[in-house]
Amino acid sequence: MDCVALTVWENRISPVFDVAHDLMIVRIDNGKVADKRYVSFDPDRLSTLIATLEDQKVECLICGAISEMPARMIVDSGIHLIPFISGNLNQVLGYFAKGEPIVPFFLMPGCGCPRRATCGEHHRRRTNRPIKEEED
Amino acid sequence: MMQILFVSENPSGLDDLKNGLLKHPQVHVDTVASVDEAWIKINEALPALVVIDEIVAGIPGKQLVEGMIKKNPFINTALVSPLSPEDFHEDTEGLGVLMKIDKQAGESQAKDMVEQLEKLLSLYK
Repeated sequence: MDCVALTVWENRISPVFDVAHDLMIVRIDNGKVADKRYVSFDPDRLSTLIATLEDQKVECLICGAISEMPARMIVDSGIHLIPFISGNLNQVLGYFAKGEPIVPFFLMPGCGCPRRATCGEHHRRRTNRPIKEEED
Repeated sequence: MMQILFVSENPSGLDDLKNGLLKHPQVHVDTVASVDEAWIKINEALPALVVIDEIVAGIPGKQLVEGMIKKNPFINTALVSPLSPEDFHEDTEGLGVLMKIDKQAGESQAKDMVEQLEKLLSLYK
């Protein structure tokens, strides 16, 4: 069973991580959503967020635009980060649960980082390869 | 209709961009000269994009973007900036700014803007 968290705002992926306040934590079993719950968080208290993610055994965080510093902290904690994602929550979750790539389809337009290869771990981790594959 | 709102005290400086946008029949452009006026427009109907000038009422555009997304993270923004693409990315990373607008932006950036907006809006259908 995989566990993924998404930053949410109403029924969408929250466009900006740094002002998001709600997480949806979802357990996925055999390509289907087995359980989901909502957790509030303070984006200014990253260590608390990371502890929550670890406590909930979240392996992957899907979010919108995110600054380099929080992205690094999340990645350094061992959580697979898929940033700069935009769109309807259920659609993104549906694709992800089935193991279908959410990048580039749900990737925010306009993030044409000219230094993708060097500006942060999160840019190198934009694909949602299965989590187990990452561990291999 | 794709509503684009310009926030600028010197809107004529963005005329080429505006004229380029208006060549797209689905685009409607409004211009306001202050953030307060922008909020009135935004509260009436959320525009597809808010284009913010480099400085408005002495406040840097980036600061205005930060204030706007704190109030409503679904406001799509573009920012006029003299920075290089690399420095702009560094400066605005995490704010979700759709694109940097050059001071001499014209038809080409207008086309790019419409394409990027169409892609973004399609994600919410």
